[in-house]
Amino acid sequence: MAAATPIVFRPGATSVRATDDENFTWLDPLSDNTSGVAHEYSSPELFIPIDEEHASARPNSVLLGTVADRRLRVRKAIPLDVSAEEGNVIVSWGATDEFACGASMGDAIEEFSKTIGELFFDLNDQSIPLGRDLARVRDILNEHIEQVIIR
Amino acid sequence: MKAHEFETIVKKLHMETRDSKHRIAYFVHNGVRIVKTMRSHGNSKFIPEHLIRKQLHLDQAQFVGLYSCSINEPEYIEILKSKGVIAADAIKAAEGR
Repeated sequence: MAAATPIVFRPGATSVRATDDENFTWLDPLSDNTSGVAHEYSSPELFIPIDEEHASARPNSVLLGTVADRRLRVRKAIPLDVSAEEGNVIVSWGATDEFACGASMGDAIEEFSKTIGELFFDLNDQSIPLGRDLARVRDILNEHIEQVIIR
Repeated sequence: MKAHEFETIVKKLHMETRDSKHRIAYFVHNGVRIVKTMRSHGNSKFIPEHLIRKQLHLDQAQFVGLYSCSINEPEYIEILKSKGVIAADAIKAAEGR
């Protein structure tokens, strides 16, 4: 055994094999006496406690504060539910039944942002009358989004 | 749902469509926009069936009926009337025009 050789243990390692010894002496990192201490080798086990409720980095809901249209400004944050289906992320605004999908949450939010911008102008087009449900959606949209004057 | 199933519904209900960043479809009755739905462009894009169904104000059986064969446009109008999506006063106003 080469006593002068420093041994660096990986985190979680309980033993290490002395590589310069053909007979494989197992050294115990916790022991002061590292010469010839036999130790049954076992793979390092690392336990990371996972809170099931927060197992995913993706939140269940987000507040949208911008719309992908420079003519529009969000005056009241839009609450979006976030879910996943068939490998796609879906963001939806329950109050208006509007939604968007994407490969990631960022993609889905970007899509939603575009969708909601288009819808704002569609529903605020005075030349086309709206039924009561779309009028309700328009009113909710106008509560959350306003048009800005670009000079 | 598949893009072609979405398109089947759009054609069946004679919805007005507009292609921009998305494919937007409006169900128009007596000149009034009643219902709006949309999908992303591209045949392989994911379309969440339950959210489209909600936008169309249909339950599961009615929705399946719509993209199979059992529900047609007049029946869809009746469903919307029964749910108050097409308002009775709006119907009278349209008939009076």
